[in-house]
Amino acid sequence: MDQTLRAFGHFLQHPFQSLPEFGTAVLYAILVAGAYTFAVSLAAGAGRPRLLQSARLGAYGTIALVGLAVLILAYAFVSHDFRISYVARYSERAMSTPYLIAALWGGQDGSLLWWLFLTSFFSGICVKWLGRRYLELQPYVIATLMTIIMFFGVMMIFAVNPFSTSVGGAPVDGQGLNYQLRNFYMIIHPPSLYTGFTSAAVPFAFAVAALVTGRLDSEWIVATRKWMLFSWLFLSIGNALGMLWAYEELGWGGYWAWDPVENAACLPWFTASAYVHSTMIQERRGMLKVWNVFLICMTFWLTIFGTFLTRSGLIASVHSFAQSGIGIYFVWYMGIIAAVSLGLIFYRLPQLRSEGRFESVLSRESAFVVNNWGLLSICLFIAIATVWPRISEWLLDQKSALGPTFYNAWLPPIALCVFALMGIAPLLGWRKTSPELFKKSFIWPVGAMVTMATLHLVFGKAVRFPAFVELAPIYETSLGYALAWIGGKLPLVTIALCAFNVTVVIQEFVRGVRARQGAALARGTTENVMTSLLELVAKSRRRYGGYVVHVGIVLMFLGFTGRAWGVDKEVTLAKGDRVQVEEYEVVYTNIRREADPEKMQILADLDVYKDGVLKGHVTPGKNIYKNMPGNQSTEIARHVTLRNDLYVTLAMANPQTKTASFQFHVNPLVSFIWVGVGILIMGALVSLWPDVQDQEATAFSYVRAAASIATGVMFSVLFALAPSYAYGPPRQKEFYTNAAGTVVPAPDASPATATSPELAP
Amino acid sequence: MRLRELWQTSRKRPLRASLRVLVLLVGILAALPALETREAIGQFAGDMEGSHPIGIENETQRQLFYSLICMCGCPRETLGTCPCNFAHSRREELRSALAEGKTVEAIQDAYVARFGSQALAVPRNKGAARAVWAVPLLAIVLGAGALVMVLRKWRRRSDSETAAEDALEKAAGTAKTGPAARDDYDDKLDQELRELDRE
Repeated sequence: MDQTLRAFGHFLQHPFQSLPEFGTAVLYAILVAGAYTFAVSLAAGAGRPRLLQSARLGAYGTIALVGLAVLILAYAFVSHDFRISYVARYSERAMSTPYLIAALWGGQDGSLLWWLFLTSFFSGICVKWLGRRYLELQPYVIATLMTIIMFFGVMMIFAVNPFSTSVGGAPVDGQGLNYQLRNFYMIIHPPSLYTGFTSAAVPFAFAVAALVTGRLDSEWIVATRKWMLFSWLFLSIGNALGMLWAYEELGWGGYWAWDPVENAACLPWFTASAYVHSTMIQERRGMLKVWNVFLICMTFWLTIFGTFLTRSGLIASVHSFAQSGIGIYFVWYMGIIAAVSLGLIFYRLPQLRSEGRFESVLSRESAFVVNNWGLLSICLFIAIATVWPRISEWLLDQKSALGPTFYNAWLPPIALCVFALMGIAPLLGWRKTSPELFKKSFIWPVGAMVTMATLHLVFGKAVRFPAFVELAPIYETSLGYALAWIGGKLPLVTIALCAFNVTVVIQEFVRGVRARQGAALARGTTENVMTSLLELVAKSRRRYGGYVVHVGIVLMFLGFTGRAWGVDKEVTLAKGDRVQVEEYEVVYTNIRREADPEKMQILADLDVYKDGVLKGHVTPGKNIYKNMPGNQSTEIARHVTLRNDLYVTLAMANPQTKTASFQFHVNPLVSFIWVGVGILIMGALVSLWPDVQDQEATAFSYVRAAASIATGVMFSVLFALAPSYAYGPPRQKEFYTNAAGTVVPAPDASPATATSPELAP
Repeated sequence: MRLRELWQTSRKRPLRASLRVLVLLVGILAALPALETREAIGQFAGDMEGSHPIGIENETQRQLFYSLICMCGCPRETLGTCPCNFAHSRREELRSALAEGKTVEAIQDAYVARFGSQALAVPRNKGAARAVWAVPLLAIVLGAGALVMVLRKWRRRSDSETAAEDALEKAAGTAKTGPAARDDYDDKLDQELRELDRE
């Protein structure tokens, strides 16, 4: 308190000279305001409804203070206020403004503030949206949100104050951001992942409010489903951007290394996915009430767990940019959340009895339940494997690590089971499915699956995507060989299931359109197919949006399978040498050096030919940063086509002889992942789009569809084609990649213009 | 576009305005990399020391390198991907060990003896270390068991409720005669559910 008073006094005397103290004072103010709001909203809930307005205003005030804290830190970054040690550690004078802003979430202290800011932002939207609705739930929703804000406030004040000053005073220049974080995706990947993480707080607050008040009807489920879908969407985007970051920046040729932090970020995605499915059973049939509350609490718990893993450094990870001893705060908090949630669920157990009736195992209800089991199985497997190094050390007294090979051997079979369920579930009707209907719905998808499998078996080798591959066993035991044998057959299984799943979705759309046209005929009118399709989607967006998401997932699975046919090659070339990498012939033409105030770049120029025709030009390189000469960042280059990526990294170059070593990775079907993510986003947007009045619906549905498609396409283009710029000029000067995935010469290729080549006309 | 104009449109035509804002946002996002301006080129020293090619020559080497974690301090990279000095000399050693005719397993054991059990990318499948896959698999199987039990319980309950209702109806003298009456009820319910589906 003494410190606060001093800070306030100092601030009143010298407003902008005491920025660090001012920031700290704001953190204290957040805590006080949060505590006040918490108390007032509890009072409002306990029978003083007039205090509700006070609680709402208190929430706004607290949120405004958090916004102020972020602004102060941003101002400190932009004005290079190196008195604040966080600013000195994560920025330098040479950095441009976008990266200065990105440095806000580049390190631990700032990323926690950023987390707090996003949580508050969503709390604010939630309070505004609540308005006069859900008046009984409202006090407890606000109170729960405030406890989350208070937790982060406490942690920042007592453990990781982003405004703390360094003992040695302000340095002349800062240390700069870690080079791996100086990447385009780094500007957008953490915010979107955090958006997904933090927005999960709102459904959690609703769940707690429903449990506390005992108003456990479908009211709160309806209130939370859009929030959860929103959170799920941003978790998907965040994870996809993380994949792109790894693909572009880590330079080992892949996009997912089963890093503990990647795993932690995808865990809540699985529980959220489970929830968006099982919530439908509760809405329709009044079943699975306990399970849904549990899933929401679990999702929120996992988001905290994810932050804990990233920030505590409990398990070594590529994300160890930022860590310290704040783990214990998180452990306590996770314990409190778990205890409170489980306690409340047990307390309300009698009221959570399911109302619905269950008639047949062959029903959509049971399919959804099985789907939940599948998603949670994946989640559980990843969770245990992620924390295994610690479990092993504590319980078995044996240090161990789990590399990606372990996950790659065990998880695909489990994931493919869930993938198969994804196709089967839509074929089953609610309540029960008659044997005739069952046969009728399966005939086409199974037919497509068998046809595709046959085609793959026959032609797979010829198109160099063989149905079976050889894998090295992860254990030298029969288990290892069995896993390798199964893994070797999975390309065929995946391709066949992809055909099955796509056919299911097409069939669902066709059925819907037919039903509409039949209904139109019965009315004596006709409707054209396009209108029927759009109307169909507009009338039940959640369902058909969901199917679109399924198509996105199918494409992603195709992309994942591509890895089975990947080829890696490493060669050392002298200037002018040619090398054949699969279908590409690559010519090493030149090596050059470029420098700017911040780093030196060594760039190799390579021409890519296919069938004797020049297809493009790639420039892999190494960046050597002035501040960290020991660390070199690998700047990869890609030649992107729909069939595969030619992914090139420069391993080493000899400045005297001009010989250079390159690693070539031919990654088949990778682009399908990014396109799949784009479609997934589009589908989620269709499901999320707000309801409109009936009279507007027809006209609006076209616009809505167009806007969703446009957004999805833009995102997928951005995902697939935007290369990572660090600080340097565009890597591919004379060529740019067009939407079809081929590389063509840019019409205006003046190297002096530093515009992004993708945006060239 | 001027902000004032955008504001006015947004009041008149909210959709068009929001589309414009969206396009604007995506544009800004895509233009971010272009904000970088190249400044005067200054020279400073730097070379490519400390970065090495991996040099995987055959499948045995690939299997071996990917099974061992580089203990240079960079977290979780295997010898199959880490380009650092340390990994380079380890790979040289392992190559010569392979050339001497040692088995992959023997070389792995020697590596573990030197750097500790956490140097293996996948722990040996023996003893308590089996728990890493056995525990989740067991939990998954138990989950399946619980699932079957829950489904059966629901089924039983709904059966008994249906039976109870039937009995009640029979007692009230309005018992349905045979399955035909039940089917009508069924059809109606199905119809309603289908309509619900479409909403």
